[in-house]
Amino acid sequence: MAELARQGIALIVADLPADDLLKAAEAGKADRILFFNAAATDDRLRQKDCRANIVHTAPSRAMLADGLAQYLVWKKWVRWFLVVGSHERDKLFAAALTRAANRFGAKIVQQREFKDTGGARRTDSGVVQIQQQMPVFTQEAPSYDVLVVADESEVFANNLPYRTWDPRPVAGSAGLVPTSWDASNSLWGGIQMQDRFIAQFKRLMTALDMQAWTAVRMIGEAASRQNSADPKTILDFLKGPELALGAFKGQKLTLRDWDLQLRQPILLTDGRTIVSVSPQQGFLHQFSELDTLGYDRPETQCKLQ
Amino acid sequence: MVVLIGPAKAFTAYVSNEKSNTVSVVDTDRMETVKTIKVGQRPRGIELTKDDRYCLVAVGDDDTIQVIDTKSGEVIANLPSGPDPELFILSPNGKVLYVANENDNTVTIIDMEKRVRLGEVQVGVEPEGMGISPDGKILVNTSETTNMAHFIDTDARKIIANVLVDSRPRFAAFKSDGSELWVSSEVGGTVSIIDPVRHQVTKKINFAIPGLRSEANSACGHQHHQGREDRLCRTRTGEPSSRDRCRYA
Repeated sequence: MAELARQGIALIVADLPADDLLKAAEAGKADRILFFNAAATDDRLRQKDCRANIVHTAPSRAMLADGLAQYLVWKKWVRWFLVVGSHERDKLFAAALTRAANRFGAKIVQQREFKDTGGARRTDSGVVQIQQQMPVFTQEAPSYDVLVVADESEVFANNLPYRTWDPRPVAGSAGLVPTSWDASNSLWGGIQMQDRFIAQFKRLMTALDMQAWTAVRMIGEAASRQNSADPKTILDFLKGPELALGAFKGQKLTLRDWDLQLRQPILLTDGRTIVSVSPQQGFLHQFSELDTLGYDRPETQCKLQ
Repeated sequence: MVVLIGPAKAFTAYVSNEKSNTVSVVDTDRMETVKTIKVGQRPRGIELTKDDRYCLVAVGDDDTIQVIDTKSGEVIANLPSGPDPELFILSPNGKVLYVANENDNTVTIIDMEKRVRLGEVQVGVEPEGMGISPDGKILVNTSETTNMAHFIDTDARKIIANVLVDSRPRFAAFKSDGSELWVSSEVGGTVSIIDPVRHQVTKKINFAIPGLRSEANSACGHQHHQGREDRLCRTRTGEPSSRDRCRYA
């Protein structure tokens, strides 16, 4: 970090796991380096492990879960069968989904773990095995409206749609997925963004790409309006009331000053279309409806330092 | 997008349909679609020539502007607009067409008589709004991602000034006497009034409504009505609420 600071680098867009990001932020503190977390969705980075020099453009797991939950509740699919992978991050997403269910009035009728036994013993033989195994795995569940799956590790979730014992929709890590961006998004000028991205990189734009772009966009916006590249000046502007970030989301985006999380709508996609965008109508808030997603000011455990 | 043709009351409206690759011709007396014209892919910006003989429509995914004969309703020519044309504007004398090339950060200049490309000007990222001064000497392009109004000298074909406005500027129009330029910013939810001589924002109009979250407020387009109602300004909220709203300033 000191070496980067010597080269005059004061702003860093990070694609790091939570622990590494915290280490980097600690190391960059003395040189007043400002970090933009484009990748880590961990809620603890916005809560007790928040930092005064980390701005989050990635939505937190809580925001993603809340965005999904609002839609499912609006749809009146309130009885959830929750299936969770066996890895740590799967459990963290499941915790966010459980919190969302409690917040918005859904009920988890049963929770099951899908163990990653390594080597994909259940799925190695391809569709024939998957087609047999997934109905068996999901049978004898209590009555439910939607199967919600937490599998950030991408071990099994995509094998669930169309293969559940009961004919039910799937949401979460497969089926209807909450995300900050999807290549199918053509709303709000999104086509222009996708076209430019494809022309430059010859591939579709992912959520991580969008989160990194948004970080650079924030820096550019602050620098051009403040005529400064100083990290403190930039952060002060980003935290302030004048930020109105255009990021192809149909509304201006602003920063939560209590935990430095970017407020943003959550897209719900099936990979082919944008099915809906949360916050859903009727989920009201006295300050910003976007604050119905994730940890709101009264709930925060963050003390920025 | 819509343009109107015809004497008072008996109007014909031409509407570009971005997703169905057609232009609808609407009789506004009967409020009926009287003809549907097949055009290229992703028709967006649409304008009539000054003599109403032709309807011009930018077909973004086909990288051209198509010329529709308003008598026959047929596409009779393609203009060399450059890639991904979106909005465009004719010079006051109708001889030159200025086109915003949305994906290429350029404005393309076309000779309307010869239907040839005269040149291009590099502008900011995602150019969209196009306005021209009444004397035709200053062209203004707004770039939706750079958030600037670019002032272009039409003789020199060069940018002479850039004015930073609020987020996602989509539409630019000069007052009919040329004394002010108005730019609407969709995401910022404001209209900036710019002094075209000093190149400075002199006033900003907000559309804040008590009780409505500021995110719900967006200013997409506005129009200067020639003459009497010179200061009429129209904005509308964007998706997903689509609550249309008019304000006067």
